[in-house]
Amino acid sequence: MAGEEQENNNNKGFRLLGILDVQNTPCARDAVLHGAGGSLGAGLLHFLTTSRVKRSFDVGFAGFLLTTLGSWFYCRMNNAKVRVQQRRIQDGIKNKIILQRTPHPGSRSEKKEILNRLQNFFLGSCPNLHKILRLFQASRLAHRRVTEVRRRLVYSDSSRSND
Amino acid sequence: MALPSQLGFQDAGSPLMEELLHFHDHALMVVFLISTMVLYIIVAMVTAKLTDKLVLDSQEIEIIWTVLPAIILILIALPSLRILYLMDEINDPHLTIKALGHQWYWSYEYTDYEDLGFDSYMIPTHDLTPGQFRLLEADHRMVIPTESPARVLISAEDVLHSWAVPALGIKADAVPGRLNQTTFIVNRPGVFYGQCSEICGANHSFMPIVVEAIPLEHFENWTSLMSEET
Repeated sequence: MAGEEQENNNNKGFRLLGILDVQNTPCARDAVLHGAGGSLGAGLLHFLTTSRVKRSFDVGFAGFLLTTLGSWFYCRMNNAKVRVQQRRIQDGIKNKIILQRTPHPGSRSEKKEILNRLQNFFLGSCPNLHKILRLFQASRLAHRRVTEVRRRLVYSDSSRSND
Repeated sequence: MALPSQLGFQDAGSPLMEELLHFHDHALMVVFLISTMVLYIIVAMVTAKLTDKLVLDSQEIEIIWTVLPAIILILIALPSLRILYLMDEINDPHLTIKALGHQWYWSYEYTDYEDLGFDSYMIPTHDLTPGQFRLLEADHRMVIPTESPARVLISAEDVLHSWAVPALGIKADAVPGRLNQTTFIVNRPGVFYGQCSEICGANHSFMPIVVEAIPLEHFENWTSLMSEET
């Protein structure tokens, strides 16, 4: 079924000059339409100011080329940025799933967000809980600092032993 | 697979093929604009009055038609070179498969974790079931997990062959006595078809390549099943 629909689309696809499939190529249709508009505008403007027909056609065609190229590159760059973002999001989701339930599940901002949400949720039910949460945060920070100091000591010891 | 009378590329199954498609669209737009410009100049020259027959030189237009083609070539070359080097990157593959060309079938070996190997023959037309594709189906497919970088080592046992899967943007010659390597990642589950791309004898057109991409948990089941069968 999907194959038949795709086959119909491919058979009905309109190719400009037999080359460019404007229906199935991303950004092509918009670029050509913008180019046509730019060509009309530039040519008309030149004719209205100079009353030279042939030169106006030339200016109109130059406008078509420049507008088509400009619209094409702008649209392609935006599409490329969206593709890069999409891949980053996919990798992030994959990493999140892989790193779930490990001792250090996420980034610092993620932990902060979780703590903030917990704080906001429980503050309404238990007014003193925010003090407990602050103590918890302080203890986590202290634990992190102690771990860092231990890591530095171990590293400095190992580098001294190598020397 | 390619549809009947299809002129364009197949839908991309790997990031590399997506990049190739985008570059192709970019180059085609440049070709379209140049063709339009040539057509316009032809029409302008045909409809021009026969004055200015003694124009000998014009510095401005000479500069334009020297600099502009250089700029166009740079606009085409830069993305092309980027993709060229992208194709040669090796992204720490999780799986290595050997694809060996024979007259006239392919054999695949998965020897990373266990000794698994099988042959892949084309299904003859009279043995096809409804829904299967003529000259493209094989009795055993090369199965790989999705979203996992895979490396295929391609060689041949007798004459030259070529292992090609257009939807994944892969083609590598199978040369006897030589190992060619290609790496790829398949984005989505599906079945991707290819055909031998180097003349290798009477049945050169009848040794297709079928790559089936499935999720990792099903891939593990498949390897166990295939190991039991072989």
